[in-house]
Amino acid sequence: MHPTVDEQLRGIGRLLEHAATGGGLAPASADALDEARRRLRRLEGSWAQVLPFLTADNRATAELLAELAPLVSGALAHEVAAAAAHEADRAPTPAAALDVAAVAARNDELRALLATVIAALPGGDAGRAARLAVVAHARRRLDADPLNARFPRPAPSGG
Amino acid sequence: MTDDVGEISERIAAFLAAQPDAAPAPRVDGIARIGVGRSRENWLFDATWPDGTVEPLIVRRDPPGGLLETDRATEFAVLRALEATAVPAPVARWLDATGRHLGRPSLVMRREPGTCDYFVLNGPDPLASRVALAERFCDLLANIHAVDWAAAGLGHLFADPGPAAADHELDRWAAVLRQDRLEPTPELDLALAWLRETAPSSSATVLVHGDFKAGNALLLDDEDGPCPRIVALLDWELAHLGDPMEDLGWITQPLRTREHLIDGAWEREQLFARYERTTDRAVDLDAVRWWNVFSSFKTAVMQTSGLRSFVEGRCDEPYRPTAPVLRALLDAVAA
Repeated sequence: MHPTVDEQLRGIGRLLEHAATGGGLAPASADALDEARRRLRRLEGSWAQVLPFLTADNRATAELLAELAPLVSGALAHEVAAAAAHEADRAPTPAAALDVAAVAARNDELRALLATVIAALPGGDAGRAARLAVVAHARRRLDADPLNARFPRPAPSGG
Repeated sequence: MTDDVGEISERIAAFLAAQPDAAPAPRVDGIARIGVGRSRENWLFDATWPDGTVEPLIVRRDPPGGLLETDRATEFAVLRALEATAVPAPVARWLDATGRHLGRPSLVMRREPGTCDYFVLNGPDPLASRVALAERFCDLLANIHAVDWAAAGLGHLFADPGPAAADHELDRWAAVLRQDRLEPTPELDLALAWLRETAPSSSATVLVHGDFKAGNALLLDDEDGPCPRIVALLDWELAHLGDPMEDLGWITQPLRTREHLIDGAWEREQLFARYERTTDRAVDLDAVRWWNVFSSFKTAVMQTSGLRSFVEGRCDEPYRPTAPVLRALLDAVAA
């Protein structure tokens, strides 16, 4: 369906570029315009990656929780195991799988549970290995996070 | 921006007119906002009294939101306390603690000459000049840590955390994290747990600046000296009593070496050796490493606060804990 989100974002970028090259802007306005163009370019390069990133992170976080569940006790162990199993068994409808707000909310739930597990991890070798597993997971997440990607700055406004 | 200038100019004039020790009311001239300082709004102006006396001043006003929410009254009290010490700091003139006059909490300071340059130690000046300046920064830090804080009245302003200074600062920043985060941050929880398990004891209580850097120092060319002169150290909003290793950890954190160190000429070893000679205090390398990690944690918490400010429309910069800062924390946990 045209115009796509990318096409619309590029259109907005062209509007801002016309404004930037038109001249006559106060320095503060030119700076604000440059910043708006920079952020728009960043958004163009990242928005489409957010849903696949969150979907993959939900799966990876659930797998990590399943691995950590035996290290915690009581009700938390059951909660962690249930959350991990739910994520593994779940076959969301196509509409739900494309609902970025719902996927993001699930990401928050799983990450909140991971934070709770971190606080409950035991000491000793098992706890140390678990923390290293969390570190490895977090590093992979940072590498994949589309908002961490670098994008070139647009040419400065002439205003 | 024009409307902002007109409004703040009127507010400042009315505020000064209400200060008994400013009477008769001065005229406010040449007001302009300067861009340096990411946590506060800084407005420069001259106050001209009827007898022709001109005093250059600066208003430091809380922004609607940003990386830090600190107390102007505390910063004002610190500046007043420093006036009786050897530490060069701006002269604090007036305080609007509630923002009743100036719109938001603000303090008015005397404006000193000079410029700030975050990366002056790695700028175009000759190496010998840059090393001499680095030594001056080190000596300034030693001077801050030598302040007799009890005699200066700072004991009434800040709690003395004693040997538990690291835990005290962790509690402080963990509370900010809990208050400001908008989403779960297991990476920070992991780092916080590591920091709690490994917190060092402090061997002394000193005045800690909390954000010591070249970017917070006013420098003035000194034709008779080997390097620029440090006219004043600014931004005391994070000052507190604590472990002297904290400031050393802040200035040697790996992510900010370009601000504080010079490759091959002013490395950690030179900095620590001079600090030890000047203060007669041993540098605890393990503690400094811990404070290095704490510095990344503190930065991540400030970025978390900045994110909330952005989402709530109180600032325009879309802060979030950055990948390098989070990686530094993860590296520490995994080491």
